[in-house]
Amino acid sequence: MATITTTTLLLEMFGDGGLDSLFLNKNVLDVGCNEGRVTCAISQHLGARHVKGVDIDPFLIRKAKEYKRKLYSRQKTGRDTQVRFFPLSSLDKHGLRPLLDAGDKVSIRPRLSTFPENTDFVAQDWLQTPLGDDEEGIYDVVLALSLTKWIHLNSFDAGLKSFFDKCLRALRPGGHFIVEPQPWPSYVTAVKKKCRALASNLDKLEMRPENGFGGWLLNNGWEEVFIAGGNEEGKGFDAREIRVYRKPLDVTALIDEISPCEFQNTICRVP
Amino acid sequence: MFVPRTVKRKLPHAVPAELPPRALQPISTGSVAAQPESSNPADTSSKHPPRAPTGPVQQPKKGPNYSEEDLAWKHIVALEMLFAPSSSVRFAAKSIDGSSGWIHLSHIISHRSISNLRPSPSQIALATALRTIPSALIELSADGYHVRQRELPFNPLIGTDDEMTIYVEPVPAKLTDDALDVAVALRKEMSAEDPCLPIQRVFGLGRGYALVLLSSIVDESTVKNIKMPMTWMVLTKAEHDRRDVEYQRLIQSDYDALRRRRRVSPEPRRREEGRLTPPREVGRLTPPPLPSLPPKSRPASTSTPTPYEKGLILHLSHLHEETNKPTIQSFLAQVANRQQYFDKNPSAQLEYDGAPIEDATDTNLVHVQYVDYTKPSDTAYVRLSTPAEAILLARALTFQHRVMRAKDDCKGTSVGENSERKYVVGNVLEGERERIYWEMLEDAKTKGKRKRKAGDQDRSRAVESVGEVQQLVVNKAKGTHMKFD
Repeated sequence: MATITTTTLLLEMFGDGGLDSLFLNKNVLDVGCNEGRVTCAISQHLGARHVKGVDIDPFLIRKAKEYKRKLYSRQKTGRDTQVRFFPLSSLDKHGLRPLLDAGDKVSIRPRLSTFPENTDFVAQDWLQTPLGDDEEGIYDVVLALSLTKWIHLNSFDAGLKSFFDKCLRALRPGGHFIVEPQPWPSYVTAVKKKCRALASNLDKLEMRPENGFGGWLLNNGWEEVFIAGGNEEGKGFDAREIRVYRKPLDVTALIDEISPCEFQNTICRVP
Repeated sequence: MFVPRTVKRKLPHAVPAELPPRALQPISTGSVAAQPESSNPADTSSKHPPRAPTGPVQQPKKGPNYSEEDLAWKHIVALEMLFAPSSSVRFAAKSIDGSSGWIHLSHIISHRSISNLRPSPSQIALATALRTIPSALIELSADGYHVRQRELPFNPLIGTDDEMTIYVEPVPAKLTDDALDVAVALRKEMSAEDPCLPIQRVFGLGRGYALVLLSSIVDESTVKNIKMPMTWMVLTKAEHDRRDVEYQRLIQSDYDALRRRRRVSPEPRRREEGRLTPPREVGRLTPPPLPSLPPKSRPASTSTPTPYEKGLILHLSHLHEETNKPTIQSFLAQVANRQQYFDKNPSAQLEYDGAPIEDATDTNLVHVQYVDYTKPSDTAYVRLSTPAEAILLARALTFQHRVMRAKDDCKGTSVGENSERKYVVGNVLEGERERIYWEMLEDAKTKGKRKRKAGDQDRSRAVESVGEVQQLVVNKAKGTHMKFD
C-alpha cells in the first residue's frame, strides 16, 4: 500500500519545482488506489484534469470516497483555494459536507475541473476487466504504486505482463507510466506473514522486480524516463523506488495531426 | 553482617539495587530534613561506605517505542504540567541549604499524574531527565532528590483560558492518541525560555487534533513566533472558533441547496393538448409551474411528528468498527447500570477492576428506541426515550472510559483517561446539528418510500448525496426495516 511516504515523494517530485507538467491538466488513472491518499493528493495538489482511482476492494473504495469527502470538507474554495482551512474538529463536530455532485461518473470531462469534481473512485478488478474502446489511449498518466507484487503473486509472470500491456494500451502516446515495484524480499515476507496460500505461486515466478522487472519494460514498448527513491539503506517504504516510463510517441500520427511548426515545438518540449 | 535476602524488607516503590555514589552522600550543612528519605530505614547498606556502581543504573522497563530521550521528554513535560500555574496540586516543601521550596521526588512520583505515566518513572529517572533536558520552570537540587519551581525569567501575559489556548493538528495524527505525546512533540520544538511555557494542559483531543493551554496570551502574531513543527496546523482558539462558525454556515447552506435540489425532480415529457410539455429542469431552485399537472405533494410522513423532541439523539464515537446494533444497545445498558452503581457507591469507582458488579440492578435504566449504525463504522447515532437518558449515558461514558475491544464486546474494558486506546465517547446532539439530523432522517425516509414505489434501482446514487444519514437509505436498500415507535 502506498503510504504518506510515497505521496510525499510524489509531491516533491511532481509538485512545485518538479515535473508538474506530468499531472497538470492531465487525465490520470491510479490502479490499486487503496484508500485514495495518493489519488486525492494528485487531484487536489497537482492540478490534474481528472483522476480515476480503481481498486479491487470495494471497502477500500468506500474509504477512498470518504477520504475525498473529508478533504473537500476541509478546503475553502474561492479566489485562493486553501486546502487545509477548516479544522478537523469542525468536521467531527458538524459532520462532512455533502458532495452535491456525487456519483460514480467516470467520464473524462472536457474542461479543467477542480477537486473533488475531478476525482472518481471505482471498485473494479482492472486487470480482469476488458479495456473498453472508450478507454484505450485516453490516459496521460497511469500509476501503479505498491501494486505489482500482488498482481505478480496472484497472476504470475503472464498476468504481470498482461497488466503492463494493458497500461500501455490505456495510455495515449507520450503518456507516462509511474510504477513503484515492491522489492523481491517483500514478496517473501508477504507470503510468509500474510498470504501463505500464495507460497506455491512464489516458486513459479521467474521475473524479478529489480531493474524494471529485469528490463522487460524497456524491451516491450516502454521508454525509461527516470528513477527516484530506492534508498538501499532504508527499510520498508524508504527502500522503494519509483520508476517513470513513457509510451513512445506515435510520430507518424503526430505529423498528420499538427502543423510542421507545432510539430517542431512539440518535439523540443518532450523531455 | 550478613543479612539473608528474605529478611531484607522491600521498598514500596522501585529503587535500583545500586545507587550512584552521589545519591548516598548526605546533604552538607547538616540539615536534618536533607537526608535522602528514599533510603530504606531497615536497609543497613546505607551505613556502609557508598559503593561505586558496578553497572548501568537499572531503569524501569520501557515501552517498545520509547527511547531514553523520549522518556526524558515525557518526564519533563509531565513535571512542568504538574508545576504549571493552573495546577492546583500543592506539595509539602522544605528548606535545603537555606533555600526553601524544595519538594522531595518521592512526593512527585506518588502523584497520579506522574505515577500513571507508562512506564512509571522512578526518582532517578526524573532526576536524569531534569539534568538532560533544560527546564526554565523546574530546578533540581544538588543531591538529585528534590525539585522546586524556579522564578520565571520572563513575564507571561496572563489572560483567559481561551486567549492562552491554541488549536493544533499534529503530524503524525496518532500523537493525539495520548495528550502527553502532543505536549511532548510541541515542547520539543519550543525553546526552554519560551514565554508561552509551560504547557498547562492538553484537552479536547480528537482524531488528529487537540487544544493546548499555554501559559501566556497567544494571538495571531505570536502564534507565528512560537516555534511549532512546520507540518502542524496551528490556530489560536479565536481563529479556530471563527472558522468553526464559518464551516457550520457552509454546511448549512450545502444541506439547504441539497434539499432544494431534491425537491425538484425530473418529470417525464407529457403530451397535453397536442403539444409536449417540457420536463422540469433538474437543479433549478424554483421549478416552473405546470398548470396541467397537480402540484406534487410529498407523502404524509408516518414518522415522529415535527417538531422533534430535543435531546434524544446520542452520537457515539470510537466504537469497534465491526460491531453491531445489539452489541451497542447492550453496551449502553451496561454503562448505564454501572454508572447507577457508582453513583450510589462513589468510592467503588476508584477500586473498580472491571469485574461484574453484583449489586448493580438488572433493570434497564435506558430505553434505546433505535440504533442508527452501519458497518464498518466506529460511530453511531442512538435515539433514546428521554433526554435524561441521553445525558446520563453521555456523562457515564465520559467517566467510565470503556474501550470496545471486540465487535461483540458488550462490557468494554476500562482504560485511563490518557490511554492510547480510544474509549467510547458519547455526545448529545443539540442545536443545528440535531435539527439537520432530524431533517435528513425525515428526507431519507421520504425519499426511500418514493424510490420503493418508483422501482428505482439506483439507490446508491441517492445515498451519496444525503450526507450523514445516507446509510439509513442503504439500510433500506439492504432490506433492513427502520422503525420508529
